[in-house]
Amino acid sequence: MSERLLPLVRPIYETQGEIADAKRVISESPDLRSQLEHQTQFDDQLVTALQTIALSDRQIEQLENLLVDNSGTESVEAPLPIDPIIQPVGVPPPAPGPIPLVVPAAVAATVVPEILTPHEPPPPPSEIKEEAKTEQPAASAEAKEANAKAAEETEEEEKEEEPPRARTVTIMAAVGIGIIATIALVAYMVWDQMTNGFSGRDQVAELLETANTLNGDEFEPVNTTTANVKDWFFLKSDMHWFAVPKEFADTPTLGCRLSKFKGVDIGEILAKDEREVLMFFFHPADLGVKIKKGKWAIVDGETWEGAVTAVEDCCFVVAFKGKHSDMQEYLSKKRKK
Amino acid sequence: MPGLNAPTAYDYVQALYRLLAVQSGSSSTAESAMKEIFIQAFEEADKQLERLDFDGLFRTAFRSRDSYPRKAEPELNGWARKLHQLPEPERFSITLFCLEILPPATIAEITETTLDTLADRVAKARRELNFNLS
Repeated sequence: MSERLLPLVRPIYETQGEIADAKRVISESPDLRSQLEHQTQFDDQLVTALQTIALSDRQIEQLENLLVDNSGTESVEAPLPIDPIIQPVGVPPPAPGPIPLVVPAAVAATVVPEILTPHEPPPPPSEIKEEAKTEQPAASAEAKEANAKAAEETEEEEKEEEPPRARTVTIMAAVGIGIIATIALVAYMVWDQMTNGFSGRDQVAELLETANTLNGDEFEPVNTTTANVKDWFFLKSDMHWFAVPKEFADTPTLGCRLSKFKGVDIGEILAKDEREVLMFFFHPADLGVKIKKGKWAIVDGETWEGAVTAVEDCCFVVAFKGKHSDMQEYLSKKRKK
Repeated sequence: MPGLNAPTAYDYVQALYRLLAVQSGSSSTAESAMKEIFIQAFEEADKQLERLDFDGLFRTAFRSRDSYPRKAEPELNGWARKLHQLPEPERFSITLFCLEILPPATIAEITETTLDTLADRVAKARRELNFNLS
């Protein structure tokens, strides 16, 4: 009975009820084990080919916008804990660029209209009295009372009106916030350059874009971990310098290949742990990349997001289609392991 | 040994798109069909993503499996192209199986069959892809 489920046995499904039973039975027979191994290798090719078909970030964004269009404000603001990519639909990340522009604009929006359309200053009580005198020389007691009332109202209005000093404070506060925001932005840019900057970034960005042409068939199926493929690459192209950062040593591989980029040998691994990733290996001097060993820098390609580091004499790049924040999160998880 | 992790909404969307791309053989058809299925499910879930029946996305795709005839020149290459050329329900079954998004028991339920029959369909699909088990 369990043997009949052999076609459904795959490593990823091995913990699933009847599939687990089937795997147990198959493991006891050398013939079935061999058949399963053959089948798994075949399916790996299909899995890899399917994984190369993917919606771009822009298409995902369009879907997110469609969801926003189809939902009310409540849905947009409601927490969507299922997925980190769909989640930000209603809450776009704040762009650091516009900060200094926003503040002066806010100042203009709040302060300028008040200046351009000032309140009509009420005539001073003395004038009212004057007017009253002119129009009604023989003022009655009622007229006097009315004048007094008008004078009181004018005084109250003057009290309610925002004093000019308060306006100055608002303007100063807004300008102050603007300056602080600008300084913060500049500091962020400098910090970003210091932490993410390295020589050869453009070469890595170009290398990342070569992944767009891959459909998965190019990779030779190799089912092991990244730490164990050194021999594979050494046999293909004397990559004695091949090395893997310790955070990625245990990543299960799906396939390997050797490619040329600007005449340089590049080792490429298609791997999958919590997500499918591409890994590139090359000698840093070959592409003029200079980065400190152990230091990680994120490179934003047009469609691919890459993280670069150097380990021993090897430059290592891990990449996937995603956002800068996805890569930061991914690296952070890897470092914690 | 890798396990079947809890997929995210993003994973489901990509998997649904891949499935529809294999079925239709066209990226634009797959994209519009994916949007249609997803938006319909989203509305049925009271426009709350956390209530959305993600397995149901594939159930809907299975119901419309016959609306995508095999194309002589699909916009696909390699194995994806060969998958597209398979007849239904083998095409749907092996593609969903290889997407590694749902456990076989759920795939069997979605394709309205038993695990045994699903195994037969997947095996038949492999044979038609010129894979000969020894």
